[in-house]
Amino acid sequence: MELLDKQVLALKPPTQPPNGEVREHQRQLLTAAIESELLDSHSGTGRRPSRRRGRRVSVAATVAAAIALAGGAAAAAVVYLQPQPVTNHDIARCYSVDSTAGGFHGSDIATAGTPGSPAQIQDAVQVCALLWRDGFLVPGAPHALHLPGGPLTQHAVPPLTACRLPGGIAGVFPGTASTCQRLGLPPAQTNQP
Amino acid sequence: MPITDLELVTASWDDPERFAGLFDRHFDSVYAYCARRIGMGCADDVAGETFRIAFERRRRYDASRLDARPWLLGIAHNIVRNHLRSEGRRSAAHLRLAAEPCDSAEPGSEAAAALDAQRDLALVAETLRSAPLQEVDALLLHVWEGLSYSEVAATLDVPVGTVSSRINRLRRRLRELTDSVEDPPHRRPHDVTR
Repeated sequence: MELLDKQVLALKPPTQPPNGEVREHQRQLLTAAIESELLDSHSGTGRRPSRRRGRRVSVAATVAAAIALAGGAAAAAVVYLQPQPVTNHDIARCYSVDSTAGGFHGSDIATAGTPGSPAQIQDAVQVCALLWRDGFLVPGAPHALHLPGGPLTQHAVPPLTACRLPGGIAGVFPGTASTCQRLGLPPAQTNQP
Repeated sequence: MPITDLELVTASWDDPERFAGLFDRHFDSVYAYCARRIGMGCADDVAGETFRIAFERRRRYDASRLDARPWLLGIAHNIVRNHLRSEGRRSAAHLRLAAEPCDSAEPGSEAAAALDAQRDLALVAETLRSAPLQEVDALLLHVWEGLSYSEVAATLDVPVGTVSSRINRLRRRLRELTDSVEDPPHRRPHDVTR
């Protein structure tokens, strides 16, 4: 290495490696993007995921971010009767309609908790209910909105039910226990760690 | 035998979760690059964004490259550049550098020699900060990040010849500057006695 390069190298600012929390937090965000694409690809709509930035929604302390997505969910011919456990608690989908046809209508919720801690959406129904209550979800809306009324305004929360989406993710629909069967999805057990 | 980055990326086309392996391999390196260029305060967000963009673009990965680091640094470089532009830093004038020249030393001492070295560094720093940013980017990717000319070219998405020209021009500026201060007044003992 010639002298000039050595001098330039001597001017290289020292850096510390990222700490474990920073690395884990960014890894979780990447994982959420990967999982969203898995959901989108499973929809069979052929839509490619778009850049998912900038439409984040804060809901109390439970949800750090809700990212509106394009895409769809499952349409299967199988009828599921038995609840199946949700195995992926890093992300969940809150639907604004009781249908998976015509693409995904609603909002994804992800990244609860502090950076570096495993994001856990322990009870997707409860978290989605917060989105409805605070006006971020309205029936049929393609993605999360923010209805006027201020933080103290509480909006109507419809009956909600959780189905298990492909990838072990919870999908929460407005509807009743029969909604999952109608959609060809197994009911979800969402309250497991 | 460990699989290559290329194999990881292509495997992630059908099995997206494989892409996380690329994060595990290269996040620290991308983070360090971002930290050097924009500071540690926002290096994590920029490095994370780099991998999310890379994931979305993975099907466009150049299959001739076994090592994904230049590709990732190229994405990071563009985010960094936009970040700096958004802060009005469109030139190398605000380049982050390590060394600051010290103020005083006894003449003839080891400290004085060190002072001379520091002053050389200060001149190099000054030249880097006044040089065209494209030249600085190319040289720093080569010297700081240890990339070959070919890898710098892949990172900056320009021909190798362009990289070579940019680096040579900047080296020439640096050489001219250091040659012009072979015996500067500040190196004479009676001037170094503050």
